[in-house]
Amino acid sequence: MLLRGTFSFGTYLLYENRRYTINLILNIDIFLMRRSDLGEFEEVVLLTVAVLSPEAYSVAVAEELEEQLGRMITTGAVHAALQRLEKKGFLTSKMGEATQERGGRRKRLFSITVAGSRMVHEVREVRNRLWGRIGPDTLPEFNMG
Amino acid sequence: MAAFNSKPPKWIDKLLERICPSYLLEEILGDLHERYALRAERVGEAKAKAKRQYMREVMAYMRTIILSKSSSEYNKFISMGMLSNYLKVAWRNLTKNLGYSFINIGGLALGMAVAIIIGLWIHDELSFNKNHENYDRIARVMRNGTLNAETFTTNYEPYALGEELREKYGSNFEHVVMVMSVTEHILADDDNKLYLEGGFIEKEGPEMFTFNMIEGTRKGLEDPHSIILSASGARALFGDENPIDKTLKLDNNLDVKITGVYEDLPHNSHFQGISFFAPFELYYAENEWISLQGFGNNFLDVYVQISEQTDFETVTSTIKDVIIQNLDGSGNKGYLEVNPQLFLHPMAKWHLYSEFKNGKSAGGLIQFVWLFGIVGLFVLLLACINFMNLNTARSEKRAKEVGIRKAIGSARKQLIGQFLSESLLVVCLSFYISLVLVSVSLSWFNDLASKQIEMPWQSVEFWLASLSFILITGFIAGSYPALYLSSFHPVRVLKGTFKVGRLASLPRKVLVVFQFTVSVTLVIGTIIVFKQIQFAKDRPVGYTRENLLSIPMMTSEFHNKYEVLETALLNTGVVAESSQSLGSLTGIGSSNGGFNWRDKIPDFQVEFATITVSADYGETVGWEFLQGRDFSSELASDSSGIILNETAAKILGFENPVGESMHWEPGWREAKDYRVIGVIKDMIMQSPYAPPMPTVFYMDGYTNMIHLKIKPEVSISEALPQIERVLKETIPSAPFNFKFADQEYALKFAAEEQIGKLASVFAVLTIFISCLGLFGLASFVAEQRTKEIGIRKILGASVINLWRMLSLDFVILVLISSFIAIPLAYFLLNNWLENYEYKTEISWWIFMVSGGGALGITLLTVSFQAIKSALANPIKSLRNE
Repeated sequence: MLLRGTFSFGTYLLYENRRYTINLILNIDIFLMRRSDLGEFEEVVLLTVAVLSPEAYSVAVAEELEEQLGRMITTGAVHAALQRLEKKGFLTSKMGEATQERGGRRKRLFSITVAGSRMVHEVREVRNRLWGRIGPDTLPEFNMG
Repeated sequence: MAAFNSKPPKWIDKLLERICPSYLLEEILGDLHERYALRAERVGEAKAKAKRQYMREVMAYMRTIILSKSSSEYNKFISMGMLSNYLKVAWRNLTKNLGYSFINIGGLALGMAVAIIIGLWIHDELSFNKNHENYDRIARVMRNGTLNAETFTTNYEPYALGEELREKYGSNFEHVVMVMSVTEHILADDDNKLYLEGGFIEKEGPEMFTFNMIEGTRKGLEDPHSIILSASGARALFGDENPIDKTLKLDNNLDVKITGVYEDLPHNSHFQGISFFAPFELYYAENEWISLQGFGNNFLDVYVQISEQTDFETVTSTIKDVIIQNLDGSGNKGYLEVNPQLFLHPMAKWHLYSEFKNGKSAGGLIQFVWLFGIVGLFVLLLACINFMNLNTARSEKRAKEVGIRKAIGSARKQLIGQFLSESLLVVCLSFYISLVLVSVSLSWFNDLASKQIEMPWQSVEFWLASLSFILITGFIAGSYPALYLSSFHPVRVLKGTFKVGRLASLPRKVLVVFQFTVSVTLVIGTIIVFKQIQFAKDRPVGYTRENLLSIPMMTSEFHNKYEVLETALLNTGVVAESSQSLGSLTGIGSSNGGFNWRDKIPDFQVEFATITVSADYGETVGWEFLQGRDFSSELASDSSGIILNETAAKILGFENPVGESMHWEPGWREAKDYRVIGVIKDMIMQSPYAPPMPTVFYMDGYTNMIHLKIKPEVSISEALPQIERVLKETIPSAPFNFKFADQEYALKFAAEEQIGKLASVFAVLTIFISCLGLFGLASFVAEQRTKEIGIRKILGASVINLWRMLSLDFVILVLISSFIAIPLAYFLLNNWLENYEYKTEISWWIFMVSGGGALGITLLTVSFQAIKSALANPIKSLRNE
């Protein structure tokens, strides 16, 4: 999945009567992919996939998030995030079984890749480090209700 | 889960099926339905809420759907790779069938060239007068009047009107400008004398018409003894010298100083070709009596620029009665009865809507704009039809290609795209060729249409128009083949059971009929236009135009020294007769009412052309008498004699008019009784298509033209230098300026001849394009039936049999077109001829000739192919496969 958007280009150069073949293979996805690309919403979606695995698919993730975050989460938004994560290589997917409430249509099941796993671990690592460095009375008191 | 039975709205499913890429459809629809069911369960009976949330869900997917649609690799692969394949296949198809391609591209290029030229012509016609900045606020004051229940319209107004509008109605106008006697005048810089066209204009004129001054300012005419020249006029008089502050003599008596030079007005301006303007004050100073004539004598033009806050209709209704209000009941009784009504004719309409009938605008050149616009469109359409016809005819050959493409997985949409891009390629090629054709033929067209159109290479609008033109033509020409070819069923085509039905050729036949209907109609039209011109040319004119030349009497010396001049001219031995008259022979410059005679019906009003002549006039022009005798210089009583033309005699109604007396009281000259001494055959002095005006010739009046009859045995080239020499010696102040009567008369046919020539060019082109298409079709049909022809030959069919078989289809089509075209053309041309009072009749032979001609050309075109295939060796056509 990493090779989406491949653009290859071949030419040659003549230099001192010798021919140098130049093959340019550009993979746009790789160039664009950086760690910082994991957005906040993507992060919770990724984590929810991990929670629901192996039964993680768009509707289930959306329902779960709606419950956890307490606001309406559309399937479309989740679907878009899942697609992006898959494109970045953090998720992989396969088609699951059909169900009656889907009108006999199959669902796409997602599971976390090694890269995805490393990603969530790294993010957690960063947060833990930051939490560890916050002084005891720095955060004002409030009632978690 | 079964608690909630209702399903999400069906139409959304349908919509998504249409717009969603197929690889996403299943999961998206599944997600939506499942989520809907979940929500519906939660909200229970509140269906509305579930539906509302469902819509939000759908909207949330839209972004994904749209993004994946445009970025999908599947799509990219098609648009890039296939496009180059389409172009490659299109190019191969073109080069493989060079003959067809030539017909296709050549025909289309020809059609486009005609359309471009006509487009340029129309653009030029529509651009008239737009160079004047105040274009949309300028108007000319026109006047309607009613004589014998018929309304006439004229642009001549009295001097008093200009003053009245300026003084009493000034708030309506920014400028009121009177213009007087725009005609040829003598401009002299010492010995350098030229006849230049020009006139007298009030001092605000240059400002109102926004002349572009090269030297001096637009205020140049404030000094009454000044003059402004056009750039070309200045060059003609002074070459490259600076003309400013130089002095000129105008018409040999007025000294004027040059205060400005303006850029020549463009050819599409109303004042085109005018070389100078002198101040109106100068004219007025010489002719102060014009202010005494009140509102009765109409002789100048009044132009106005209305003020910003008002519009033409409002001003028209304000000023329409100005003349009537200023006429007094006694002296102008007759004129009051004419009921003069003023109105404004906006500058935007001067050129295209210049004609008036019964006081209402009756169009004018705009009719030709429409006519040629339609013709151009038709020519282009015919060329497009060729393209469509040839492509669909060849469809069977390409059916296999379509079949294979479909079997591999081409969608119909893609095939339509393929054929459209193919036609676009052809149209682009044709457009290139048509540009070449247009730039080559433009100068020739300019001659024909007396225009100065240039190729607008620099104009952005032109290229934008061309681009849309290419797209539209490509689309029209390509649409039918694209839709038709892409509808083939792949399995049947590849199995070989594909058969084009009998009905498949029907649209093709309809198109051929349409082509030939247009062509035959145009041919009939052309013949009738030329017949009408010939008819008018053959009309008896009532005088002899040959060897007759006229010289305007520009200065008073002509009048003072006329006797001397006449003697000297006759003494040269080349001049047979010399005489004078008011106005030229090929126009009527003066007409009057106020005639009375015995038994005249009291309320009957009639205008007679009133022409002053000298005694030898009749001899000079060679008029023919029906009754009575010519003027004689020996009889003193002939100064109150009068000669009528036939039409005038009929109006008088006497069986024997000679000897009857006529009382003439025009108001502006003393009343007098005349005695009729003769009646001549009508002379065609005005339009050769109109009935002659009732005319009276009398001797005691003002003359301004000398007519010379050159002896028939003397050649013109011999006579002219002699006449010039005499003129120069006798009247050195005037340059030699003359016109031949036969040339002037020929000019009366110029407009109609121009139409005739243009129409014949278009007729030839339409026929040519139609035949080109027919030729392509015929050769295609012959090729398609090669095997059939071979078998028929083997079984004993003769060449004649085969020729008849192949030609008959086309002959029938052309016959049908002729039967449609004949009534159509009859209707259209009958309407056209209604414009002329003296008109030819539409006789049956025209239709026979046009129909027969079309049939003949068709046979010629088709026979070439038919005979070629009929003569071919059957072994060759049957051997392969």
